[in-house]
Amino acid sequence: MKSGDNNILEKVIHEKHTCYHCGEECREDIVEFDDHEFCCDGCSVVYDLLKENDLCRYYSIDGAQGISPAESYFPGKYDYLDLPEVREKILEFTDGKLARVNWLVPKMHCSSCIWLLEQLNRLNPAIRSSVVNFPEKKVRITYDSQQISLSELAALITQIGYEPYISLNDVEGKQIKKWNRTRLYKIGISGFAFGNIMMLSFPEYFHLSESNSDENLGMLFNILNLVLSLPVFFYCAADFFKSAWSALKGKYLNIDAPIALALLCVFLTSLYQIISQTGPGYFDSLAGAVFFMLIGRYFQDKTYAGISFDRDYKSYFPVAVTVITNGIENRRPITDLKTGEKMLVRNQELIPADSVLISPRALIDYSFVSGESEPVERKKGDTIYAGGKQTGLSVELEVLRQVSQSYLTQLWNSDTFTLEKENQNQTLASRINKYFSLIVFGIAIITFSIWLLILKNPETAFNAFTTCLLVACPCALLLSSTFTNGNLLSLFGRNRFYLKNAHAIERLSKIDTIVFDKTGTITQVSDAEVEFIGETLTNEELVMIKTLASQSSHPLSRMLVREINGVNASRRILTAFTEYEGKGMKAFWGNVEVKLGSAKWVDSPNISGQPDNASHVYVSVNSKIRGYFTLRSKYRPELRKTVSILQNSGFETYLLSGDKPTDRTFLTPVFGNESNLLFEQKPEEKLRFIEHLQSQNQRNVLMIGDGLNDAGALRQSDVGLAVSDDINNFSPACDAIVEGNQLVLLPAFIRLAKAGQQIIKLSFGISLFYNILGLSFAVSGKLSPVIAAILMPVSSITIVLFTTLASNLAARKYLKY
Amino acid sequence: MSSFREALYGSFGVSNNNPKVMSALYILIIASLFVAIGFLGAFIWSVRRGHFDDDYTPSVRILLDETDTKTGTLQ
Repeated sequence: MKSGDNNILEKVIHEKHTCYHCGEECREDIVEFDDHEFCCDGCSVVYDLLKENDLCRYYSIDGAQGISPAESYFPGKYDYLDLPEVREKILEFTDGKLARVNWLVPKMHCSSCIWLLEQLNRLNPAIRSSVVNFPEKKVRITYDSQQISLSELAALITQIGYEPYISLNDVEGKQIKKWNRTRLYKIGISGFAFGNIMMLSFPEYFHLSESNSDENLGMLFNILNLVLSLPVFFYCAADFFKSAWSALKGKYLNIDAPIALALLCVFLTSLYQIISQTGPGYFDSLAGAVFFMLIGRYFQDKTYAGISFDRDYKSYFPVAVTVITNGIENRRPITDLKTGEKMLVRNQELIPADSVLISPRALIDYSFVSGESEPVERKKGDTIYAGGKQTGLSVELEVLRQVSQSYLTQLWNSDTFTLEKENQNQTLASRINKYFSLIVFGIAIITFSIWLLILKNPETAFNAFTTCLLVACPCALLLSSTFTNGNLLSLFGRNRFYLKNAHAIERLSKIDTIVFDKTGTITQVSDAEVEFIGETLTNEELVMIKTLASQSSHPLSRMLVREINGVNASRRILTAFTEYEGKGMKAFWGNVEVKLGSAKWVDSPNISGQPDNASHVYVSVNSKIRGYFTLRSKYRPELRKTVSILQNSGFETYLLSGDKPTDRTFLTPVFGNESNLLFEQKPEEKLRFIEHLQSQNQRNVLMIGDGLNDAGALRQSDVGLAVSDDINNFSPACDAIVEGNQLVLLPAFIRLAKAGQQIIKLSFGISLFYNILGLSFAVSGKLSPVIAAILMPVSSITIVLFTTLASNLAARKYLKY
Repeated sequence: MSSFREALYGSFGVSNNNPKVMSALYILIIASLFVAIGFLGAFIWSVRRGHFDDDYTPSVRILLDETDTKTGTLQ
């Protein structure tokens, strides 16, 4: 018996087919084409297209892995791009003949993608050139607009798998690019000024301008210094002042406020010293500080830009919607929607305008607006507000109000996107900074009053006051968190663990409890053994079931769709589709009622009786139970190891599942304690459970979910981690995304985040040492420009070197390169 | 410090009391600033031309062969 099993197993492994195009395992029908095997028609079509154009080198480049074309594509999807007002905004340049677009293509991932996207002219000679910017995942295409239209171009690159991402931001024609260059100009100018001021200050450092004839030269140098520092102060440092000012207006202190104050004081003191000819000023330190801080900021922004999901929330807005006029569907930009028009909103599409429902029923998911994860049911004639997502069948709506972007922005901005967990004052850096600023300010004032009132020396008093602020400039603090977090983000990214921002790292480091969601998280979504038990189903019934299941985004339904082979989902429309989360769904197929779901849902006695390690999906046709599908989910192979590492490191682990406790016997030893397993949890129960852990047990909770069905819980948790194999598939509720097979590294990720906080604290220590050293000079009124000029860059460089080296070492230790 | 200053000037064989040497210094300083401004200008020009927009793709692109259609299909 045993050996027989093994033989079957070996055979199965032997017969594993991988798709020649996308490299995925072929699960469904294998498409044989040109001596290669493909997992789907889409992949073979792409292959055919590439082969026809002699582009097969694509497959021989290292790491080549094609992309199956998106299933969500339908002919006419990009028609709206040809409308003059849309085209005008999307095109970067056009002279009537040649035109150029710069599109975001989130799916490019390797060097073969670069190669293929730069060979587009061989697919269609109307394309003159295409240039890829890989870090930004953008491709700039120059094409002949008389031979190919913009919509055809979009359709062409969608066909080979690289769907361009066109968002409302593009339509609004925003230029983020220029801003990046501005930052470079600022770095260049401040660096230039820093170097030259330093050079011109050298005579001063060594007291070379004491004799008469040197005095004129010294004067010239001082004036040159002043001139050089003007662009630094007014142009390069402008961002610090702006940010500090806006923070002060909002009545809170940010990290830029003390920086701006220090810069202002130093500039004014130096100006006074030069005009009154009492000293050379501290322009060198000023320029140096600005230079180093700008480099820090640039590095930080660059790291963030690389993370594809750190997008403006506006990019979620739909660009176009399907409008029905006289029974004809056409795509139109949402800004062109007029009151009284009929629009068609498909499953998972956003409702762009306030409207009245024409279809009998709609299930609207308002999780983006209200954070509520349970879809709301609306009936014919109800008013539906913009911002929700339709789930289920396509619905028709009549537009009630024209789309006002400010309204949408306001709606989304209000809640989900300004998460309270992102509170600025709670980050380690800003907390330390608050005390730091207060203490420095206190010291400066005490010094000032001692010199003025006790020692009666107003000149030195003023000098000591400003030098205190200068030398204790919090730029070292700023640099230590920017560089550590920035470096960690890119190290995480290299291991395909994508964090939203630096705050998320900090919260990750405090995690002590980990809650797993079951379906789609610790089980593999795409892998299951499906078996039907009951009366044999006819072909038509299989079609019905597949069609019904394909309406739902529940993991079990998706699995069913994938596993029902040999039949295609029908294009015939189901009517009265209803899905009840946690129960099942039903719809009418003509006049036949079809129900899919739990045993309770179809009013079936639990046929299987004994709980086995499987989920069941029951099928009933016209209230007659036909049998059930058994779906045996496969757990991620590394689950046991991951959980045991986590438990050994002192984390509490919980499992929440919306499904039945079928796998309790298997999962109990993994999670250790039966009370840590909770089954049959509704979304709001999951949310409440996490809330309970946080408020009652004072726990910092990491919730791991698939990002689709547990948005509420993800948002409630301190860190919401979505497990996804498609990093573009995320909801704004999560703080991080990890690729499924990297989940085993989770303990290492948390340890690394902890190490990161240690590194930041240590580097604060280092900068504190420099600060005390500098302050001791400043308080005694003896901080000469040369000491300031040495202390500033040395402290900045030490911090940058220390944080970068230390975080790399920590990563090597925990992630084992 | 003053001994250092003497040593510095002494090593160049000049005296800080010589007005001619000092006026040469004015010109040199201005000239050196102009050279530096030239480099700054070059930097700004290169940023404007987009040289710093993408620091990764060119490194990959150079390793990918130019189109060689015949060998491509044999793969």
